[in-house]
Amino acid sequence: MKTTTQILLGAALLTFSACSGAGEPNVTPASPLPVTAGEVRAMAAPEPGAPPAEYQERRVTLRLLGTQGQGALASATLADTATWHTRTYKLGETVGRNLKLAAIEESQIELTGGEVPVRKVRAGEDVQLRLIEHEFDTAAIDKGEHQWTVRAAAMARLLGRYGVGATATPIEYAGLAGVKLGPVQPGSALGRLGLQQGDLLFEVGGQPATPASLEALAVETTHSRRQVVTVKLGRGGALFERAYVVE
Amino acid sequence: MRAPRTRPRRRHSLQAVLTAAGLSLVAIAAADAADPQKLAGIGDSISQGFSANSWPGDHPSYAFGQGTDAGVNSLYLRYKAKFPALTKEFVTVSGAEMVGGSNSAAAQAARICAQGSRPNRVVIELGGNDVCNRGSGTATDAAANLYSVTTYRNGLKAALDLLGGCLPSGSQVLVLSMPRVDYLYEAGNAKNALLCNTVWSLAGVCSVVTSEGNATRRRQIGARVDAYNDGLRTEVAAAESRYTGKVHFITDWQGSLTSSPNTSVGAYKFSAADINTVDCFHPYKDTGQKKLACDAWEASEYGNLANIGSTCLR
Repeated sequence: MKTTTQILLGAALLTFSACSGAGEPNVTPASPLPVTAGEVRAMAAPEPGAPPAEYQERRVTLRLLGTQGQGALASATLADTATWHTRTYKLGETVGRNLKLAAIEESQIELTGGEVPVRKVRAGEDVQLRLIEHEFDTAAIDKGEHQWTVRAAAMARLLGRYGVGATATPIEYAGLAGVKLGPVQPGSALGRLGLQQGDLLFEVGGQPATPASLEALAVETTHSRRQVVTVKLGRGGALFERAYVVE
Repeated sequence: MRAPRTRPRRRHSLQAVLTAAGLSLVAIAAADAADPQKLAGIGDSISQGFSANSWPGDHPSYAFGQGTDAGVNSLYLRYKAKFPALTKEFVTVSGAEMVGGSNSAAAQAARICAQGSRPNRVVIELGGNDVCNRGSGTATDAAANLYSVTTYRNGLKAALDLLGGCLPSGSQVLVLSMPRVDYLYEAGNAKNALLCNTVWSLAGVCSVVTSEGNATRRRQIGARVDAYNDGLRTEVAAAESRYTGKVHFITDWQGSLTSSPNTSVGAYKFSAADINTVDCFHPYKDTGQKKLACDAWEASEYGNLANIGSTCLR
């Protein structure tokens, strides 16, 4: 068990080391440090009631690609240089559970979090961060190319706490029968599975999609028998098959 | 406008010089190594031939880059006609953005870098979803919710740096400009306004323009597309400078529809006949996809940018 001093020293070494915008990811190889109760208390967005054991740290190098918008529409786009998965955050949102996007300016952001002082990051700049994530945050991970991995145990707990998270109505599109999703609750099972309002589902697990398929999909991803659950999905006019590999 | 490129002629000149120096065999081997051997692609549903035959879904055989349909006469088939041993391995994904998500330009570039046999020709076609996946803007600026040009450029730059670092010497990366989605909306309306608007609403096809009733606001979106394409050209030129002598970076973008009409994908008004009848937005195989293939070929080292307007985008 590491002491608090060791943990903070590790965080100080790992958090917010800036580096140049180009080149290979610059991630310090080290064993993950446990998350402490103090860190949980200091989190910008803790999971309500969750003990430290449900969190894990992840060391990443993020690149600020840029910022856009003003006021309520202001957002910042960050790319993980290990995978190049890229996400846009609104002002006040958290990166992981511990870092908060405190300010967005033209081509620059400010991140704050817990013991860490305010850090400015410019567009095109890489920054090494220690992210703390709850197990729900990594229950379903988009691996790209419409392939996802799902951790069944975490999904089961998540489903129990937040529910399926969406409803759907039957539709027909281009001769295909399916359902169209209404609003999807953030943090719910379907939200974690990457589904969005307006998505069209045509098949779930090889069966024609009906409104009841939403719960079936959520439940199926909680079964840890190493299976693949496929959905035929329409979004923004595109139609593709997504595979959830349940572990 | 750029003068016609004559790469084979350049090679002969180089060979003559080197022959005089007694190095002809070495020179020929080096030149052959730069010939197209494997074509890869980074892109979205257009590169996947989505609904290109007016059936929903991906139909890569009808896609401009990797297609095998003779009618489309894809970039792959055109290269293969000159270099029969050419292979292809595309990593294009329907729904992909230049910037965001798990299939961004950089994510796809990393997958190309991880291929067992790395390509020495890459074609990039992205950007439509960067616009279409965003929400409507403010009352005064329909483009307020779109990625900034800086964000768009840095997304492309990350991909070009990965390719510049991993591709073999003598490779060429062609970055196509993105189409004006505001004119795709108009093409759909011209095709069948009732049907197309019904489909767009149901399937959520590029609602940032298809649900925007104000033409002036749609032009604000189009102006941002032009700015992205200007930024694209700047990043391509910068990559060309960074990787001089190793990887050659080129684009079809020569200027906007206003200043340089029909000279690139981004400076072409797609017509009703150019798009499919399923979603009224993606290019149809015998028209839109075929034109994209022609554009890509003329932008490559074996074509001539000056031909795009007269030969491809008529």
